Formats: sequence, C-alpha cells, structure tokens
Amino acid sequence: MPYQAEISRSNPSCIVILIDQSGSMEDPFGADPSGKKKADGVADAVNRLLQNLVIKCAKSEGIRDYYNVSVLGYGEHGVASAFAGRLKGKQLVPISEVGNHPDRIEERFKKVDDEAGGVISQIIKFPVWIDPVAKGGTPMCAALHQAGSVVSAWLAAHTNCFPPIVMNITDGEATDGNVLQPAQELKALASTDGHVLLFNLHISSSHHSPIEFPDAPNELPDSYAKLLFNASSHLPDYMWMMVQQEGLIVSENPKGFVFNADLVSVIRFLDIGTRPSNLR
Amino acid sequence: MHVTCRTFWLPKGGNTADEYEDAFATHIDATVDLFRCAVSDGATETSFAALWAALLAESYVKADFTLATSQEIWHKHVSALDLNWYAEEKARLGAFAAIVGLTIKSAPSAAQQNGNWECLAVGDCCLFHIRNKQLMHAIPLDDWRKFDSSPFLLSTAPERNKNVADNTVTSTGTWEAGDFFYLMSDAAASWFLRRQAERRDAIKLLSAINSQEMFSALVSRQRAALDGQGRPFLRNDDITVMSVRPFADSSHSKSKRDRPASGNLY
Repeated sequence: MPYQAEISRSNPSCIVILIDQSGSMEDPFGADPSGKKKADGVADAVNRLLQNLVIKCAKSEGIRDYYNVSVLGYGEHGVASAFAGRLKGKQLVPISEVGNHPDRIEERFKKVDDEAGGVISQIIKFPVWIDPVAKGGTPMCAALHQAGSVVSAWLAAHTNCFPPIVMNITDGEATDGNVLQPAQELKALASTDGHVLLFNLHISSSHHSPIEFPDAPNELPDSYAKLLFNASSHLPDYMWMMVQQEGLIVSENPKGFVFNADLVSVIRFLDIGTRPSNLR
Repeated sequence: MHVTCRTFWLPKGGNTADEYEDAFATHIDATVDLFRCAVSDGATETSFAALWAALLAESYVKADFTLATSQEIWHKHVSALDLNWYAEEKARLGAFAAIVGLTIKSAPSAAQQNGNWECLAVGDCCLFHIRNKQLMHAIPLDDWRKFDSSPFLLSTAPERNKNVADNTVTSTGTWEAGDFFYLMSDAAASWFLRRQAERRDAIKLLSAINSQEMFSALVSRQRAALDGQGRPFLRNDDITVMSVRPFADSSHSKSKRDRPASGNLY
C-alpha cells in the first residue's frame, strides 16, 4: 500500500512550495476583509507554513531533518528560489537550515481569546523567509517543470522515501500553456512508496466562500479553479483519515485542492509520529 | 508480598538511546506492603516529552499523582533554558504523554494467596493482566485496531487537560499466585494485542524473553515483518515493556518452584 513510508532522519522526504509572484497577485485577496493583497497573503501563508513545518520537526535538542524544502517563486524573472536572506538562491534546503536561518524575525500582534469572553492582542514572533512579490506573467508550467527537476533529483537519491509533496499557491491562470500536462508529468514521478503528490491552493479576488478538499469540480466558481482541481492529486488514504479526525467534513475521494482557504492545514496531515488529539 | 519486575526498552529504530522518550518507574512502599509502577510515553510531535513522561511516571509511583506539581517542575526546567524561536514556540505548545500506572497491594493475610490491584491509564499505554497464560484484562484498549496516532494525552499545558477526567480509565481487580502483568507503551501494546488475536502466541513470546538481547532480537524481527498491507507488525517507535509478577509471602517461602530464577522472568 502506498504512502506508508516512515518519515525519519534516515529516510527524509521533500516538500516543494511553488508561489505565484505574477502581477495579478497585487490585487486584493477576496477572503480577507482587510483588503490585503494576494501577494501579501501568500507570503504570510508560506512563512506560516515554513514556521509550522520547522516547529513540527523541532525537538528538545534542535530540528530533526525529516524534510528538505524548496520554495520556488514564478513571475517576472521566470522560476527561481524565493528564499530571502542567507538562504537566497538555494533550491533545496534541509528543514534544520530553514529553521536556523530565517531572513528576520518580526513581531506581530495576534488576537487571542482571553478566556473571559473577550479578545486580547498578543505579541508573537513571526519568522520571515519569503517576501511578497507581484510582477510579470505567470509561468506556472515552467514552475511545475522546475519542481519536477528538483523532485527527480531528490528521488534519485531517496528511492524509498515518503513521496515528495508539491504545493502550488496561485490565483489561477498560467501564461505559458496548459498546466495539466506538466502536472501530469510531475505526478507520474514516484518513489517506491507512491507517486508525487501535487496539491493546489487557489486564492482569488472573489468573495467566494472557502472550499477545502472537494471531490468534484462542480461547485468551484471559475474555470481556473476547475483546471487546478483537475491538476491536483487525490489525498492518500491516511491523509483522508487524518482530515476526518480533524473534524473536516470531506467526501470519500477528495483532492488536495483548496480554494480561498488555508493550505497550512495540509501540513497537519504530515505524519511523523504521535500527535495528541488535545493539541490543535 | 514480593514482586519480580523487569523492564525492557528500546528507542525508535534509527534513534539513539538519548532520544528515547518513553519512561518507566517503580516504587515499593514497605510500610503498607504495596508496589507501584508506571510506564509513560512522551508524544513524538512535542518537545521535552521525555522529561514530561519521566515526571508523570515518577509522580504516579510516588503516589503523588497531581498534574499541577509535575507541570510546575516541567515549566521550571524548560523556562530556565535559553531557547531559540522554534524551541520556544514548541515548548509553548507544551509536552504531552500517555501513562499507565499499576498499584499492587499485598494479600490481606499470610494465609491468602491473592491481593488487589488498581490501574490508572490516560492515552494509549496499556496494562495487560495474565492468568494461566490467558489475557484477563486489557486496559484501556483491548483491540489493536483502536490505536491511532492522535490519542488524548496528558499535557504540561493546563488548558489542554480540560477533558482529562473523560479520558482517564481506572480499573481494579484481584491478583492470584502465578498471575503477572505487562505495562507497555503503545507500539508494543498494539503489537501484543494483534499478535495475541491473530496467532495467540504473544504471551508465550514475551514470557520467553529474559535478556535485553532477546528483547532486541524480537523487536528487530517484528519491526521488519510486514503484514498483508505492507505495514510492519511492530510500528517503529520507542518501545517499553515492563513485566510485573507479585508473590504472596507464604507462596514465596513455601514453593521455590514458583520463585523465578535469577534473571529469568517466568
């Protein structure tokens, strides 16, 4: 049965994040009432995703290299590493290196429940690896090809790993062709434990309600969302079970696709050991 | 009352002994002729979990099982460390652990060959009570299919323990001469229940173990053996198996045949 390989330091896996940095990302994000730009929302989401992944792999003694991570931006300058600071230009980085080298650590305010019926602001540390960029076209096909190159090289050296996961964050419209072809080629790559997983997060300027892990494209609001849905992998059985355990209502054969929703949730479903039910 | 107790443990395959995050503890209270023991299992996805598991096991056997005291010690230790951003954030989320504790009381009189036991369990560490090579009790889980990777566990963060009462299993029973108990962390417990259900020889396999080498060999074999779906029979995780065998004083002195040979469990 696929997608059962243990993720460990001796058998690490790989995560590739693709970020749409095209000019249309300058537009406001529909799901955010503050009018935040999509590029800002995506940068925040990716920084949070990296933060959560680092924390997931952190132990008392440091960060365990369960994953190597690539963050590729696509836009005005084609496809390139999106890391800022000390990791700038690097294609694939062990998660310990990611954790130890954010470009900077900002302080941000987070609203939290004061457990007395009110809300208070709390200062939190917010490590930043990725800055918002919104310029040029949307070479998404090239980005998927580049992800394929990164993943192919990884698989050649890690034949028995848990299959690499590619997360593509975009507002939907490729300017360099039909994404289905490179998506198919990417998903055809495999370790002995299964095919590469391609998940898509489609963010939009529309105010359409978030949709998480649908099993059919019928309710998706536009043709770009439907295309990205078709390009996405189905959730493996174990992820589907974990999604259920988290209380999300999903059908029996959902795809790794979310619309105007939070892709950070996906990393909750990466399994590296016991995660208490009362830690959510 | 006399008790023979032995514990075998191994870290997750690929990890070092320093990275073992289960814990175990025993305590004899001679004044009331009582034996207490516990196995605890720190959750992999949390940090400083080994410390938390050790504190829980110790506090159970010292009959001082107050979460508040253990939480205070844990927080004091962790807050004294100089942590970077991710370690600080991870510590803020708290450590989590499962625990199973067993208290064995002596026979009420020298003429009797039995006594009472009590068990407390939170999470997926398990107690198994064996009599005449039969599994009498399995607490809190009695089916290997009930184990998953997201159990309710005891936390260092008080706000995470709101449902602890609903998730605590307590049980009592009576032991007789010849009975024994196993306390196990989840990987071993799940394997034990499955093996016993499918091949009926888990008790026999474990009772033959009388050295760490034999235990290591059994663990290696079972971690490597795959079921029909390609899953290992024994999940690769920290593993702890504690065996406990009580003897009434009269039986202990009367029958040398009942008494375990040195280094030999059963």
